[in-house]
Amino acid sequence: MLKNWTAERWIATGSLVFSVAYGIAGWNLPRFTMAAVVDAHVFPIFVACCQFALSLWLWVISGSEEPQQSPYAHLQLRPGLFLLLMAAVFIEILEPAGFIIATFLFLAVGPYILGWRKWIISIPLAVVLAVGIFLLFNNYLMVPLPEGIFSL
Amino acid sequence: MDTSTLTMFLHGLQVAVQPENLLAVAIGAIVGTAIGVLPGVGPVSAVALLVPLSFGLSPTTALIMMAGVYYGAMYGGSTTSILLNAPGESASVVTCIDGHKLALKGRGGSALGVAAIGSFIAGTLGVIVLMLLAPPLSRMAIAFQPPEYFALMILALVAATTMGEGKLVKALISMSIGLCIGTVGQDIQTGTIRYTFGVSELLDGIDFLVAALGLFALSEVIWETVEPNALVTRINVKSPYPTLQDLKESMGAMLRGSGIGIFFGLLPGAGLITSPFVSYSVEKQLSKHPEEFGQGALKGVAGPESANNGAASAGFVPLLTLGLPGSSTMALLLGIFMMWGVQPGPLLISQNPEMFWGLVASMYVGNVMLLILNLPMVPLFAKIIDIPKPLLLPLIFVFSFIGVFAVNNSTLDLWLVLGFGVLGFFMRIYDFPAGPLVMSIVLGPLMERAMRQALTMSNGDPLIFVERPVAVGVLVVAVLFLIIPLLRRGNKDNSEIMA
Repeated sequence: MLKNWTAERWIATGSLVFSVAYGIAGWNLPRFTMAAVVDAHVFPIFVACCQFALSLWLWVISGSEEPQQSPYAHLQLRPGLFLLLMAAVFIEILEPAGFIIATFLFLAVGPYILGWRKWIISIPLAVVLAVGIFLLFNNYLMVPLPEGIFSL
Repeated sequence: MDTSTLTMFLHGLQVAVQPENLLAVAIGAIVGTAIGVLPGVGPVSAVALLVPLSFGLSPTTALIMMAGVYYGAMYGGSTTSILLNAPGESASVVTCIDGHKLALKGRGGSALGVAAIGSFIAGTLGVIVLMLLAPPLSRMAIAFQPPEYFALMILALVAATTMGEGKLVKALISMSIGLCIGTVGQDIQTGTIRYTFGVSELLDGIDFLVAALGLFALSEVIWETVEPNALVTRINVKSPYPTLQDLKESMGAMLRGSGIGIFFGLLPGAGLITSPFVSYSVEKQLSKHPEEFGQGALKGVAGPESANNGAASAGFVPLLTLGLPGSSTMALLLGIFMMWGVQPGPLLISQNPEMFWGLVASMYVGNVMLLILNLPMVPLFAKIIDIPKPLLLPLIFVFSFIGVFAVNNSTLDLWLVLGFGVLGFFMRIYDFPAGPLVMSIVLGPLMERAMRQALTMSNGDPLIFVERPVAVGVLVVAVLFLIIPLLRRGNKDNSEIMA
């Protein structure tokens, strides 16, 4: 039976579980009845009930006897996954290495992952943009971006 | 319009034409247009990305700049819709239908020109409405108490869920998840820490900017990287100027579209997305040649584009006077207003007249500036779109990260924005709209506050929401907003079965 479940039914099931967990966590919040007529748990429980009812609605209408086709069949997931990996690396090295290094690496390697092979364009562009954006934000917009190794 | 309104508006005009504000609206409009023409980056992403531009400015100048960015991005979005069939946001989808067909016929110049002029007319009329209606609406809104505000929040959220396509239940679930996210952090009233899982950086909650950039900009980038059919074909724009015949033909559609857009823009949560569709439908019904629609009808561009911009201008009425955003972008602007310590609402005009009227007057200035900018600059902006996507998409990632990092200097926010990006990607695959989620993150805490204040007023009696006539009236409208689309869909399904 589970094989014929639609993606929507799986999502509805996950949403039902989430709403129950969210509601229980809301119910267990500490009470301060002397401080407020309406305590901090009331709204979360109200939202949890709404979420539960809506998820149940989706669960009921999303049944199907037909075998389901994957919505990912026509997508090329690899470049997207690599770009996400690069973004994760960017976040991790942003503070220790600094904005300029992290951005340079991201803008130099990111286009390659997406199929760009003209290094002669992407490398100088990455340098100019990384340094230019850093100077623009740090010096003119007064938004401090991590200096990393350049702060030494 | 009474003389005091005119006097205050003229004072606002004085504020708007101060060199720094004039420069701010010009920079906002130019950069907003430049970002708005980027494929997949609509006004919501443009405003979110360019928030850091306004840091370091006075609140008035910063808000004027953001309004310029908003208008600029709206104009930019229509350019990509027409030239590349790539709408930057859902409101531009209708423009694609006939605009791109016109461009393929070599009449891209006419379509772009009519869109620009129609947007200018609608924007100007919208500003006049804002000038006439904002003060009375704000006076009326002062009478609103927490129960009425709670009902209004319900109305805005319900309207936001019913304006898009797809299953209503999915939009409602999306909204509900946004409300859950909105409860993360320390409760202001009791100090209770909710859903932070011991992470101290979450005590202040999850910023709307994090969710908006992730769900809109990053999910779009991720989508572009996995969907490799978005190859850009360069279009030869012979002239960016429409002929007099084109203008004559489309003037009626522009005026009708403006009226429809302004009317819908006044309704919180309903305007921006619904009005272009309504306008397109009206033009098609009124046309002597309805068969031309879908094949390259100029009225099919003039009407929806005017409606789009009319709604954008009129949307500032509920935003400024009631604090109710009419779209995701408006929700972002609401957040930005609050970030600057300005509370939009009934007291804004009396407490911050300079800011309010300066903003209204700047819209006039911004509209004129955008018309001057848009007509001759169209071929140049089209060049930005020629940036190869492998270079462009990582750059959008970097700008999104800067936009988020600049707010709290927190790498946790970067992980969150990435997470929201992935969530937005899956939501797109399974047809869950992201707009209601972002709107409810902004409106959720306000709604909770109104609910708790109302229940405190009634000593915990929930009947307070149905005992007050205005609150009941608003709730009835919200229920109608919810039921009518369901009935329409039911009728449509029945007629399809009959056919």
